[in-house]
Amino acid sequence: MSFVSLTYLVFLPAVLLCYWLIPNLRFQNLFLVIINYLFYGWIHPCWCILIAISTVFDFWLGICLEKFPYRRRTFVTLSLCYNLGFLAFFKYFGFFAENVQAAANVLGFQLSPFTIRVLLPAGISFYTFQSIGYIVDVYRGHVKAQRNFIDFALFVSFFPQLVAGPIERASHLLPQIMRPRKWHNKILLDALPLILVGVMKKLVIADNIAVIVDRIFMLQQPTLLFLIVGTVAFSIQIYYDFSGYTDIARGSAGLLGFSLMENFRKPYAAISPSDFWRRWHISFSTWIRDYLYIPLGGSRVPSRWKFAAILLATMTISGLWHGAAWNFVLWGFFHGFVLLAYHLAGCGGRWEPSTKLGWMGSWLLMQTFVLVGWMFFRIPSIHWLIGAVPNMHFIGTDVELISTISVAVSLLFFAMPAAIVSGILHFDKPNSLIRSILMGFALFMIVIFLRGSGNDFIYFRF
Amino acid sequence: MTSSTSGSSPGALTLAARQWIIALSVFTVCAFALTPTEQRRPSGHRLPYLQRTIEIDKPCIVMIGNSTLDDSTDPVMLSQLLNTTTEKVQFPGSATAIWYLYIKNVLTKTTNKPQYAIIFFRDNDLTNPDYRVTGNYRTMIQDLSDGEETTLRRLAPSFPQPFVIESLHNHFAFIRQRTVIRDSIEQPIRELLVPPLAGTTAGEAWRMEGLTFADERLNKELLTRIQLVAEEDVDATHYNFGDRVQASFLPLMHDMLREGNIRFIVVRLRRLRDALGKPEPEKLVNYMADLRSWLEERNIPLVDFTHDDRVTPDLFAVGDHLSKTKGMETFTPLLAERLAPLVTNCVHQAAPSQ
Repeated sequence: MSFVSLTYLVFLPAVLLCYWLIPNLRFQNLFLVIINYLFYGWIHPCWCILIAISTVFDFWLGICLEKFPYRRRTFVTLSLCYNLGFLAFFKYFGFFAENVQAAANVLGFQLSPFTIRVLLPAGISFYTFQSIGYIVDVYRGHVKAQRNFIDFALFVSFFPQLVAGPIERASHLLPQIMRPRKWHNKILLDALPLILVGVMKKLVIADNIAVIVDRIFMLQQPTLLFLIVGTVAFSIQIYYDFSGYTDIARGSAGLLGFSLMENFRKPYAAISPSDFWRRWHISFSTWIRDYLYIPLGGSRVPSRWKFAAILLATMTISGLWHGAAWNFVLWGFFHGFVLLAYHLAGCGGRWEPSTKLGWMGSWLLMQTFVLVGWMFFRIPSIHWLIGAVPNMHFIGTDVELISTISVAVSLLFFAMPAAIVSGILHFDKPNSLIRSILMGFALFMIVIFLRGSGNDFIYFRF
Repeated sequence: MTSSTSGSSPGALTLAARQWIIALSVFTVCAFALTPTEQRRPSGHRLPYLQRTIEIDKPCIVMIGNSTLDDSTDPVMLSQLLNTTTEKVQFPGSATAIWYLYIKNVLTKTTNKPQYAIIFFRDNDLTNPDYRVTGNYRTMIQDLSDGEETTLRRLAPSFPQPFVIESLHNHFAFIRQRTVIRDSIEQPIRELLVPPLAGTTAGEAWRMEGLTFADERLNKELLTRIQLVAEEDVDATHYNFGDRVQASFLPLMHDMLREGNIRFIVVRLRRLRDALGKPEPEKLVNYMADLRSWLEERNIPLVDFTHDDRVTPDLFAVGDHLSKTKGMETFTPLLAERLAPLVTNCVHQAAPSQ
């Protein structure tokens, strides 16, 4: 079920009404688990089976980890094999088979195409990582294994963050699940404007800019200027799409008495790659840091080569996590390379320039890298880029130049509502008149700028 | 007791109410201020024009279809080759719901009925009544509707909008006029910014944008892949002819044309998949065999180009669409050749029409 569908507009209030009328925590949690499965299985009920199997398996393994400490490694390995195997089959099998076949053809072997059409279950990458995080935390002794199955099932399948995160930590979400939750009227003041902002980000900004992006990346031979405008447009689209989703998720969870972690902190204000990853998709980047980068050795390894290899491998894997295609791999590798370059230049970690001019320069350079990264992320395929680059003109003909300007003006037009979004978030006092007026404008713009039934959120694909 | 619905902070509720009252007031003021006075387009407003076209042109053959018909067939050339008059009626992206309405509300209601009505389709289009009846197609359907169209509502369940949406559309002008309001906001901004930046008018820049993003400049491979994926989703569940036919518009179209004394012919177009030598899905092969028998029983000729190797891959422009130049020039004579023995009643001498 999509957050920006009419169904959700009916679903959420109905759930809230029933949920807050339930007097007992146990029943509230049970009710939420049922609702989570209803939400997840709305389009493909069979997806519920997958998440149920995953939940049962990890619940059982968590308990085994505590009960049989001498077999801890076996259990954690089992969980990793199972969860990653699941992910690999559903997400990467086609990609793997295709590439093996292509490689064999290059080497002169004729392999018959072996493909299985597998429907990628929405959110599998998110809940799989959340479950792995839980198992590793139990293994490390950071959290106790959950003994209540319903609570654990709620942790794995909590509907506001099930499909596209934030990827919650057991230490943050499980205590909220186990603690009695109380209704406060203040919830309305915090959560509803957040949901409104999320819907506005998605339907007004991201979905309208998506049209511009799709057109540019559909061109056989775009000019460089077009590619730049398209990439800038995509950087706006993906931020407002994903942060819009997160806002709705956090707002919906807030209405249920939960607090989900922050996922974005003005990413386009970053001045270095480390800074960018502290601001962009925070729940994922910290997950990658804590469960992949640091266990592999992180920055503490003595050899520079090993450090470089770990960093590049971590970021390439994080790219592959986004999708089974080479452009995502390239995107991850590119970010790894930029991180490495900054690190080697002494600008890693929490580095900050000392002067204002230095700050401006750093920001400009970093944002250029971010844009190059987004270009790799958005291109239809590496093949497309290789085909387009050799004959690419900077400006092209007069017709192309004027078209680029015209498209850029449209982009500016659809990006302008971002000012309303910022205003609502900035004037955050509950009695702020400006906030209320901006909310009115936001409502109006949602109705006027809504395109059809809305596109899927970009991160639903991952 | 773990939860309570009693307000622990009574001021918060008042503040929230105040916040939303102000927001809704701003929303209402915007809606009233920006909604222009409208002239509502009545349902079926295209019917008189379409009927008049047939009455004036008096075609012997009317071809009905979507853009695959538009891109593949030149009616002027076809008329010359068959020595008759033809009319090409194409609704971009249309499917059976729209073709059914055209036959019901235009063809069978004109005084100068054509001798032949030919529907151009792909694969299982003819028994897919719920296909393309939402979004922009809904408007197209409304423009061709004559009254409530209860049969259409029954056979195409996606066509009726949810009650809430339908009510909002019916009662709130600003929702009906969303796109007009949106343009009225966008246009002044474009007119303010485009001329100084581009050195030309906003309208001219718009035209150039159209040229830049014209079909022939788009990535053919990508477009084809998108089209195939979209159609694969639609087709997957619709291959059981026996189950589908009675719940489709096909028998109704046949009955109406027979009662109107118009001969019904169907033309199955070759798809890019076939031209590339990819095998037809087994379900489709069975489906086509059933469709063929059904048509034979009713004496409806089927002209099937699926296995006609003269329609080569290089004639295709985007997806299943032939190129309007080489593709159309090659396909039209092939069509004439196959139609000639079937349209023997057409002996008009009138000038060919577009």
